[in-house]
Parts: sequence; C-alpha cells; structure tokens
Amino acid sequence: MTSVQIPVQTAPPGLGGLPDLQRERLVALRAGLLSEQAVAVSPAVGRALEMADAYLFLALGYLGHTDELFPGESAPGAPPP
Amino acid sequence: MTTVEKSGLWNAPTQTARRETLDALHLERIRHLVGWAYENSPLHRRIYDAAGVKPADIRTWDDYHHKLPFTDKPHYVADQEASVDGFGGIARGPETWQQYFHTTGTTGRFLNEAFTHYELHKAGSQYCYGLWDHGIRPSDSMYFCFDFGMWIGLWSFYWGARNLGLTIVSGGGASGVERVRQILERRPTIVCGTPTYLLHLAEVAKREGLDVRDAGVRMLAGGGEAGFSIPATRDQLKQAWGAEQVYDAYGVGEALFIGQSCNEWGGGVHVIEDVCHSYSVDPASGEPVTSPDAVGEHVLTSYTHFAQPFIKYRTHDLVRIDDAPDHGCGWTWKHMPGTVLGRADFMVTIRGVNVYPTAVENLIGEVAGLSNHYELHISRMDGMDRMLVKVEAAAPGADGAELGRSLGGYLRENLGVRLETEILSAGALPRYELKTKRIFDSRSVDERPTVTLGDNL
Ligand SMILES: [Zn+2]
Repeated sequence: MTSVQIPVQTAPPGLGGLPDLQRERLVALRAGLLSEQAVAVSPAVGRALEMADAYLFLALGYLGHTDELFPGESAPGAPPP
Repeated sequence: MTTVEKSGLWNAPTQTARRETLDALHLERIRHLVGWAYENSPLHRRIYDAAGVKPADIRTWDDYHHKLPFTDKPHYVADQEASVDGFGGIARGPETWQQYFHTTGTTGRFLNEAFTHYELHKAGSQYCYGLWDHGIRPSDSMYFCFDFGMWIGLWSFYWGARNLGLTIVSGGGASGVERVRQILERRPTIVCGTPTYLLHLAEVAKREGLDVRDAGVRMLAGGGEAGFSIPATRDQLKQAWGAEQVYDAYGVGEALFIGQSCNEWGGGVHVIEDVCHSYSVDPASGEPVTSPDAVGEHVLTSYTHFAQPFIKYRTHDLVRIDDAPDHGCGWTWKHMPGTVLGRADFMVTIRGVNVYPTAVENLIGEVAGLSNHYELHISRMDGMDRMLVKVEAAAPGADGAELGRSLGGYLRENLGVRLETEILSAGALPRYELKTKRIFDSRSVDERPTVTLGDNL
C-alpha cells in the first residue's frame, strides 16, 4: 500500500452550536475508549469495547463527524492518534 | 417519556441543516471515501487509474461530477467473477464482515454483498428518521412476514428495528395462516413485508374467517416493489389492514434502502443524507440534472459501505430530485416525488412517446373494477417497442372485454399512446412472498434504450 491520498481538508464542515460541542466531547470520549481497547485484559473486554466503539461512532456520524469514515479505519485495534 | 423521545425528529442537527452545510459534509465524506477506496479496493483503483484520476484531483463538486468516473453493477460482477472468494469491489477482508447477502436476480446476475457490524447498524439507522417521524418509538414492535434469507431488503428493516429499539417479532418459517394468527395474537405496531404479500395475507385471513383489522396494526412497511409508492395500492393496504400509516421506502439492490418517507409523505421519499449522497444525471449526457421537475438517472455514493464501497454508483432508477422540499415536514433533505419513476433500462418508447412502467402501474390502480395484480410485458416487434398490460379483474365473473376497453382508454388518455391490454380472471397471476415480478422485458440488450451517461463510464 502506498500512502493514503486523502485531499487536504481546508475548513472542516460543522453543524455549529450544541451539535459541534457534543461531537468534540464524544471525540474525546472515543479516544479514551480506544486506549482501553488497546490494553484490554481479555478478548472478551476487547471485543465488547470494539462493539461499544461502533455504537459511539454512530453518534459521531449523526453529529457530522468526517475525520474518519468508520470505526477501525485507521488500523483496527491500534491506539488512538 | 424523556425530552429526547418527545422530539419530533430523529436527528434534527442534520435533518434540518441548511443545504450548504449538508453539501459541505457530503463533499468532505466523498473526498475521504474516494481516497479510502483508491487505497483499499483494487477495483476502484483500476477504474480511477484508467480514468487518469487520483483522489487528490477530487476537490470540488465539479470534480466529482465531471472527473470522477461512474461505477456500475457490471464492474462489480466482473470483479466478483474474477475473484477467488466470489465478491467484487472489496476494500476490507472477510475477517471484518459480519454478514453477507446477495441481490435478487430479477435483472441480471446476483451480486454478493459484504457488511461489517458497523455498516449494518449504520445502514439500519436510516429507517429511524422516517419511523420516528411517524411517531414510532422504542416501545413499539415490528412483525416480519418473511423467512430471513439472503436478500437484504427486509433484513435491513430488521437492522432498522434494532437501531430504533423496537421489539422484533419474526414470522420466519410460518405459513400465511400461522402469520395471521401470530399477528392477531402479538398485535405488533408495524407489519413488514412486500405490498403484494401484505394484501395476500389479508385475503388469507378472510378465507379463515379472520380479520387482520382486529390486530390493531398501525403501520405497514416493507419494500421490494413499487406498491408503497402507488396511491391506489396504499389505500388498498390501509383499508385491508385498517392501518393508519403506510411507510414508503426506496432501496437500491446493491446499496440498500436510502430513501424514507416522512410523516407528511409528500408523494415520495426523502434521501437519508446521513447515509448517502444522491443526485441525478441526464441519461444521455451524464450531466447533473438541476431542475426539480426533470427526470434523471439516480446516482449514489453510500456512507454505509466501506468493506465494499459504492461511489458515484449508477442505480439505473429514474427519479426526480427536489433539493428544497417544502411539504411541511421540516426536513431539509432532498425529496424524490413519486419515489422511483421507472428503470432506465425498462423505459419503453412507443410511437415516439417515452413510457415509464411506474406511470402505467399508477394508472392501473385508478381504473375501477381492476385488482392490484398485474404484469407488464415489454417486447420488440419489427423495430418497435410494445407493452402488453395484463391485469386481473377484481371480482370473479367481471366483464373482461368492458374492463379491457376502460383500461385501454384510460391509459391512452393519460399516456398519449395506446398499450395492449389483457384482462385476466381474479387469481390468475402468480403470488410471490418476496419481490413480485411484474415487469417482463423480452427485448435483447441491443434493443433496450441506450444509456450512455456521456463518455464518462
Ligand atoms: Zn418530508
């Protein structure tokens, strides 16, 4: 695979107001979730957190999140950026 | 009930967003998706390389419309046939798939479809916008009149029900009579099936001395056929079931249901802009259609497919798209009046007049004395397209000749051309549980209308 050629985002589109604020909080929440997933102490915990991430990602999608297309896009199971 | 549950809209932040905001989100997602597909789907890389396009070239709507190539089912089918695992256009491996399906075989070959867990949920989420608008809440329930097989259509309703939090009642493996009894006993809020099958169940109940109206079903939903978009069939369904609401949804075999009706209905469905981008093009030139009155071929980019991306994908469905609907629902999302007006491939030209099968289907429902069971047979004779309309009479012993005359006259009045008609006795046509086959096109590929989309394919 060569490097990802995603066009540079100049001004990220947003929904404004409360939706943007909630999206920011959920992005932070997700970073915490992904760090826990990366150090899960059993497959059971890891898989449960992976599913939790799918549900959390649905909420991000409703709030106009465009940084990632789907959970796991940037290397599945990898620690957060 | 919490404040959130009282909210009239499932997701007001996007459902009522301004067109500029929505378009900015779409462009961002599309650019990102093109980059993803280029890196991860060998099929997409081949198509984009052949067109001399790199993801970085797609920056504006003009780039999307004019530089990015269209994709079409034959691309996926060819890739599927060349692949070792039997799937085409794949960008994520089988280890990520939760479930797979295939399209129904009414037009051409099956296409195998792969979905991850997230994608099925995301695809199912689209139903929530419409169902919520109709007052459906997590305390409600949905009964499924079908066996859970490989066809995704009604399965996607199942994922919708899971997303909204409905109680799911499966009618899988049951006979018609058993389903009627289960529905009467369980009293679901919604019954989900194809329009033909739902009407058939009402008939089955009658034969057993039962009445489905006693079940108190509030809404009928489903898909697979045009019936939920046809005013006459909607009325018949409401009457047969005593239901208040008939839910209209629009699905694309390969890319799922992407249109849902709001409570106002407005004669069609809204594009669910959280799950896809949708526009239409002139079938001859491939140029975007800009007038809300003009019919074009619907072209789709899906945000629910990443294991198998669909980008600028030709649906071959003819639609009208109004990007500023004002029928009072409050949604700003694009609206498709009449839902699907026909298939570009099934368009028939009779003595110079373009006839869309859906227009014929609508008109049949308006002729008194006819049933909702019909077939359209398209053929080519001496270089001319022909359409034979076969319809069952509503009642046994009806005067077929007289009904044929009124149908023929009514079609000519409204379409401007005379079609051949044949009236059959009640019960003569086959009944189907899943998609009812109503359109039979015996023209060869060469004889069908050429849809070129300019030279951008
Ligand atoms: Zn509406």
